[in-house]
Amino acid sequence: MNLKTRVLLQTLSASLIFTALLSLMFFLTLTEIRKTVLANSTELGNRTARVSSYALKEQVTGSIMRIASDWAVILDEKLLKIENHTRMTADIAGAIYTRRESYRPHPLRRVVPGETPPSEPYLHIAPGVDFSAIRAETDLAGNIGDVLRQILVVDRGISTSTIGGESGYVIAMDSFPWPSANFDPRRFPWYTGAKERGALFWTEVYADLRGRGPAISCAVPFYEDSGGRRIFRGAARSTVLLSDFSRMMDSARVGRTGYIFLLDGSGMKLFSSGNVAVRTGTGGIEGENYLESGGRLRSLALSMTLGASGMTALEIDGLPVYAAYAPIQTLGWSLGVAIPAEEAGVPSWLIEEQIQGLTGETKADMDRQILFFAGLLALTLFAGLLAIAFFSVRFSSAITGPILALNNGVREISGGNLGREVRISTGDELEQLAASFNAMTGRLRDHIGEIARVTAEKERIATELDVAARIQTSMLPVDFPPFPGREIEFDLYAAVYPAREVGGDFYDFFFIDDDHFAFLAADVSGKGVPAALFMTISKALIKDHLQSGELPELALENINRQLCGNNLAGMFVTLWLGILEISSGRLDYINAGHNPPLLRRGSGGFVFLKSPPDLVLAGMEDTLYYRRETFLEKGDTLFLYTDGITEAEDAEENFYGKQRLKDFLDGRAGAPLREILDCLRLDIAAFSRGAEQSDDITMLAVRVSGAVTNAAVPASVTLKADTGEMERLIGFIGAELEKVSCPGKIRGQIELAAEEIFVNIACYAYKNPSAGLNDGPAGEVLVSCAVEKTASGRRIILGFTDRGEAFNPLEHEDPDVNAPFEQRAEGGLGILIVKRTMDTIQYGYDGGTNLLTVTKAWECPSEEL
Amino acid sequence: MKSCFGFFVVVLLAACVPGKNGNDALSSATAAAPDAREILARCMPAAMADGLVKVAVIRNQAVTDHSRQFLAGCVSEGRSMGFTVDTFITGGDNDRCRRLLVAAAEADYDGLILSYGDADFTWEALGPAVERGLKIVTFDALPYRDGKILRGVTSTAQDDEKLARISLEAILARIPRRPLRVIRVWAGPGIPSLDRRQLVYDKFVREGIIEEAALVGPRDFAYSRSGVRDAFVALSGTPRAGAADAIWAPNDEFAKGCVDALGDSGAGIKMVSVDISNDDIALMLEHSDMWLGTAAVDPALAGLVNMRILAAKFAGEETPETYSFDVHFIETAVLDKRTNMANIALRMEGWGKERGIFDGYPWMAELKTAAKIRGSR
Repeated sequence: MNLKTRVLLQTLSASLIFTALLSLMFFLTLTEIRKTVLANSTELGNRTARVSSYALKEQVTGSIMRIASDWAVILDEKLLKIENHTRMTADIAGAIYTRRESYRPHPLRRVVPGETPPSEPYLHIAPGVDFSAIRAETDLAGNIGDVLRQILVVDRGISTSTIGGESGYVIAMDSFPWPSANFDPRRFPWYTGAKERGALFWTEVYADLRGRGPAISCAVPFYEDSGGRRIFRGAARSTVLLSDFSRMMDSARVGRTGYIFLLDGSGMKLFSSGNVAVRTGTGGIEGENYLESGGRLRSLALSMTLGASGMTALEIDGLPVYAAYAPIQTLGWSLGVAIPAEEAGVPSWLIEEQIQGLTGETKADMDRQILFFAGLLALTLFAGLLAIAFFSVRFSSAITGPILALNNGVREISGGNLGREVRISTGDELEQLAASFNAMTGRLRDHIGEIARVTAEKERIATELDVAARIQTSMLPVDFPPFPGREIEFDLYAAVYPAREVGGDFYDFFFIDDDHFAFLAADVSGKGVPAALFMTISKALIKDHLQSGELPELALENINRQLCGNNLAGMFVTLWLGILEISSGRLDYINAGHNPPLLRRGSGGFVFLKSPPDLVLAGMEDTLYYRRETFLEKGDTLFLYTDGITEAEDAEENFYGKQRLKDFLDGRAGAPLREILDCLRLDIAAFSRGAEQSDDITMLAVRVSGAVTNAAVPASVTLKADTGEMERLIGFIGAELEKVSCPGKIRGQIELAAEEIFVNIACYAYKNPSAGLNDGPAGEVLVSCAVEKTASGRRIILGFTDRGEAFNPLEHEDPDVNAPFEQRAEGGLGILIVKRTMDTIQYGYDGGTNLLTVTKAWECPSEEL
Repeated sequence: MKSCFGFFVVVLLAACVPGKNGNDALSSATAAAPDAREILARCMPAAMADGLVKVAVIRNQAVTDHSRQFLAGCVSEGRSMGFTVDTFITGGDNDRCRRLLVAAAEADYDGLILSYGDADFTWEALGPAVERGLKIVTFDALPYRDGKILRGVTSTAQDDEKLARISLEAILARIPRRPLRVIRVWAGPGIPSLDRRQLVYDKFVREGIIEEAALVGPRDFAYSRSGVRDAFVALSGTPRAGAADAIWAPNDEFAKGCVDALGDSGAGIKMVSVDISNDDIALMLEHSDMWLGTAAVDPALAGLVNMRILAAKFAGEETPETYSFDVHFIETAVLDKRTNMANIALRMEGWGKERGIFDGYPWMAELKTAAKIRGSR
């Protein structure tokens, strides 16, 4: 996934998460708001409905209170009118009696029981009354007839308008059948009440005798004023049928099912729902008396019978109602208005339903609005997301575009197109980075160009070096055996392994003349071409000088001089040069600062040939070189090498070393020379374990094959480093000297020197056990003895090899033999004898081995040669 | 960054998500009912809490606008607390009133309010009710004997002395003549409130501040307005110009009779009165040149306070023996056609407000809430 995609995805992810969270919060909030608003709306609706319901019920109850009050007043007014009409009747009746002279007799028709009277006043005489006796009075009272007729016309609340005379007559005006002939008004409550009270009197409800149902009567007494006296003459009466109340209140409407009811002063329900609520029974008027009920109905009755105005809620006939009441002052009755609570609540319930309906609509509206809003929000969010995506792409492109351009540039450049330039114009750090990158690319391009040029140059040089190496190699003799046909005299094999293309090591071998064979191994200081050139010069000079017949030491001195003459580079050459006289086996050799070669005599082990080094060639002008000599016998092997072998390093920087070299050679001493050198090369490689070869390696080995006849074959004996072996030593040396008829004096000097050397070894070499070597026979002394021919005689070569403590007798200061005996230092005299009696004395210590070699030559008569 | 973002989200959620208090107001309102029941159950008889209390309000005066206002105050306040309130108007008929009180005591009323009654009558008439243990409050009645108030009765009253004084001082302030020649309208003696107001008038007369120019009055207090009008007619109509300076009507019905009789031809006579009603306001505005103003107590407030005191008695609260209403002088000049008894408080500071001694009853509001909830079911 590339950077742009990652940035884009992260930007989009962050935006989406943020948007999602925002949306979530928004929708949660919206949901909560909706819930709260709906709850509030519902509660508000419920409360409004409740309050409205209460208010409407208050209105309804207030309304029925007004209805009750108004109808009570209306009834009062109607009853007052009846009272007034009754009063008027009584007043007129009284006036007729008082001013009887003003009235003419007005006889009325007597009513017949059961007959429906015509629509005019009629007369009834009470039983037991003598009509004739009261005829004049009834004719006078008959003048009231018109009044009664008019009252019935003007006051429709009155069913019958009547006057009853004290004399026992009745004059009435109605249109109902007369009940009975036994009717005597003087026995009825309305008459007696008015008479007794002397004022207007309302009867209780009674059963109308003429079967018209419950009725009440208003009665007013009338009197005749005669001479200042008030004579009771009777009572006027207006009969009001309860059934007429329905007519009186026919316009009264109390809602749909509400009704008006009347209670009399005793609590009896007289009228209800437009109908008379009492009936005529055997015991008189019968009906429901609210005072005889219980609970709130009785309480209502109490209030009403007391004449209270008020309103209460109660149950009537098991139906919850609101009842308002107001007194009818005229009768002491009370008018009640009842409306079922259910109906009172109808408007309120309707309102409640409407409000709840509105609330529901509000909820639905709100839901729709919220849904619309949510939809709008979702669309907005969607649009926002698109915008976010768009801007995210733009943003990621803006951020990553330059980076990607830079990346593409880098990729192209890394692909090799160094001419690629990254062009970024953001005006920020990225542009600076691109500029820096272009600058770096430019420098890299230049650098690579330089490298290419240098590499080409190097290639050229390498090629040239390769050529040089081949030239150098071709300068060395590489054909083996080098001198076909002379293998019977010696065998030789050599190899050089330069550390670089060309090196400074070299070997060479050539015949100076038929009997003298020169071979050498050299090492030019430094490496590479200069060393190769120096080697070439050196090699050529050596060969030239030697083949010109110069003595080896003189040749080297000349060569040295020549090399030093133009040696501005300060180079030098180490060289080990050997010249083998094939006929005699004599080996002259010069060591110009080179490693001592390893010599194996016969089937023995390799030892380092003592060859004290002279100064290197080209090291110092006028250097003198000394030639040394030894003899090689058949089978002897000489191994020349450069320090590239002994100083070969492994990965841990350990040197290959002389001992390892010697051991290797010892291990393969009898092998063909090619095999020895090749295997040695492999052993060095194995030792190095891949470490780079640090120096040139040169090896040259020569093995005497058989032509040499004058070489002494050394004899040897191994003795214990004990003076007790002295006799064996002398016997061994004596036997060897006996073979060559050594002169006695010489023999004596030789045996003395041998004794001194042996004693010295026996007494000191193994005295310090810690100094003893581990890998050799401790406490032993190898004594070799060889006698070789010399030009004038013979020479004995004695070698003492021990593995005791290193001790160079040549470094030991000679004792002062001229000092008094007691002043002489202890020891050293034996060595001094050796030095003075022997021709040469050489000491070497290598690989834990002390090798002390002494030679003593003597002349022999020519016949012995 | 993540933590910052998380913090931001939490804060935003916290900021945006509405709290539960959003409908606290409604919750508290809807929770009022159970609280109310608890409060009511603790502090008052169950009958009161259940709306079974029954009160009789007896107005022993004629059916006047003032009476209606008083009774309306009683009824509305009583009904708001769930009481059944019966009203009686006995028209000043002491016998009838007495009978009614006896009957009410024997009926199932729990309390009663009596408006108007002199000392002897009131003490005697309320006796049965007191014996029956009814809670009683009186308004402008005198439930006293030998300086002692009937046991357990609270007597509320308009401050008649003050009503008379500020009404007389108002007319004196507007007419500089001294002594001020005043036509007194009178229907006494025997009407306690009027008798008390008369004492103040008499004091002004004795001090020579006022001189009584004429005395008129109805034959029957129950027909005060028409009686006064008839009385002026009997006095041969309009007083002569300059014969009197002012009319003092210690009752608004008297004042109505005066304006009926004198109308706009009042010969420049100015009038002040006592008490006020919606009819009074209309007539004051119609005859603003003559009817300068009236000293009054809000009759509806009187009814309301009487009912509250009675409710406090039902609840077993301690109630004062006496309570006197603030008196206001209402100048005609501050009224207009839109003014009525319901909104006159907008013109008169302090009008319609009781002194708050009953505001300390938390149950009263709860009782009304309970009654409202009960009434809405």
